[in-house]
Amino acid sequence: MAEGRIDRLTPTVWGIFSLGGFVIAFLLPVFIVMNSLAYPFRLVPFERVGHDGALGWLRGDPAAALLGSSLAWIGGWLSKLFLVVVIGGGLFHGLHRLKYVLYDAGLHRAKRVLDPIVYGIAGAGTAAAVFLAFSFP
Amino acid sequence: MATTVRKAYVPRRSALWWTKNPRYLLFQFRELSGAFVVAYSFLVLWQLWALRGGSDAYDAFLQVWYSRPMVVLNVIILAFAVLHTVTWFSLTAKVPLFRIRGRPPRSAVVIGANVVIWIVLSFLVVRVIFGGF
Amino acid sequence: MATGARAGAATASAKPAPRTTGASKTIKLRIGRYRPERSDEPFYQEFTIPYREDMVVLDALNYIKERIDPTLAYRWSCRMGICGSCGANVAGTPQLTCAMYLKDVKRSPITVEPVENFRFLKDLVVDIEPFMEKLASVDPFIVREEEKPIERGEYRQTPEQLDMYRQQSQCINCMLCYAACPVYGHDPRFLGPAASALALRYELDSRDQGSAARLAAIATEHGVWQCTFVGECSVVCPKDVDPAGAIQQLKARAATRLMKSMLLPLATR
Repeated sequence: MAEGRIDRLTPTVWGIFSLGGFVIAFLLPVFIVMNSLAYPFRLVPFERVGHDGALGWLRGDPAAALLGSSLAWIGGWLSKLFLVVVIGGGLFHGLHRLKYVLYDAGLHRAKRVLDPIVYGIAGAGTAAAVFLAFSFP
Repeated sequence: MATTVRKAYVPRRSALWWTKNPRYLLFQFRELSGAFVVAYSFLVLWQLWALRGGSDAYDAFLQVWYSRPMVVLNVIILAFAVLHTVTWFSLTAKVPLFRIRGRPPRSAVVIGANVVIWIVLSFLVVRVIFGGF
Repeated sequence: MATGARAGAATASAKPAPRTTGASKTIKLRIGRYRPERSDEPFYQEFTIPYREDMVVLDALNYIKERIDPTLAYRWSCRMGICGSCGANVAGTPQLTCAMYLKDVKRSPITVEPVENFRFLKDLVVDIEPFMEKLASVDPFIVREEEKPIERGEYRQTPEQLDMYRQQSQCINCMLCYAACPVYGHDPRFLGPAASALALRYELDSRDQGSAARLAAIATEHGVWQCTFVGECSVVCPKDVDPAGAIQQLKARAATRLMKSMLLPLATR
């Protein structure tokens, strides 16, 4: 029976992978439809997806219309957090899976090199999502 | 302890092992969905970056974003995203996270509950975050 | 009636197996052989034997060994699906030869090879030592913080408590799950389905108090974390142990234990 240092990293990574899996399972399909396919299939007018419409989306205008002027600020947080969670969850979940695809294809020997690269990209992408989303008003 | 082996033969494993039955094939597609999810994340990061460029730059970006090839790509990405959702629900249904009266819930019930949550959340996202159709 | 064996490959076709030749039916099998004293490579040998509707693969192997080629080597014992000895690769699928009816194999000839992902020793006999070592590595016994003296009696358990781990206790160590697992296929260091299910059997046993050490032993790089939930192990298991589900439960337990130990360090043992 092996008694070694307790591995804290792998369960944590798996936990993030699982969380990301749930997030994109519930939220990604509708996001793809609304962000990439709604306008081409003429489900929404151009005003909603053009430059001003996009800024309004980030400002949380749709939520603000439902919540009223005093709670409008929640809308801004909601849309930006939505982006961060979907992008970050997608990156951690997808890259973790891709890592195992590469392992199964024989690259498991490169684990010490592959792991930091994979999770580094996921972390950098999530940080970029935070920076970009919150750089808008 | 170890048996005495005279000359044990190590069988070679085929690189096409995943073509041997439909479940292996589905597994590969399921894992491949990760690549498409990652691709979409990067696409959206690109989209946000383009939005910072201002009105004219974003309009030019939208010419590409809504071009025919991109729409086709996004339909494919959507297909893989839905594959992830569907397989994720059946995977998590196989892991009993709680027990009701000593028994884990039947997997059909768990999957059904997840689908309901998925529909409700999607509706809320469309209505509250995107402002409906 | 049984024709002699010919070495060499035959092409398989997806036809129903038995053929009527005059008064009685025969069936053709293609058996994987390996004779390390004769050659470095395994080879196939074909046998055509008399066929009855109720024959299983093991019956065919026994007929070949008794009447045609006594040198054919293969493992079997109970012939009723409880000892776990007779695992083989039948027409590309991991099966117990005692449980697989010839009439259900929709191919001709019926190919019988050693169970996959294990080293061949002779004919259909594979090296099971790595598997035995993995079973031992999960501390497959009741671990107590303090043993009760014999006079104080046995550790008692209600039927409901027994039900908690009943499914995982059904494993017959047949190794079909290891044959089905592509992760084990490319990395034999992986702990694997059966050993993990065995670990969960003890985790779920109310009498056991060895969780900390056992989880530490299996929540490792080549332990449960290497599983990517392909799920084929649970498909081929003849006893419905569901090792795939067991591994995911173990992952969740290990992750929860880690969270608890970080948030409530004194409460976790």
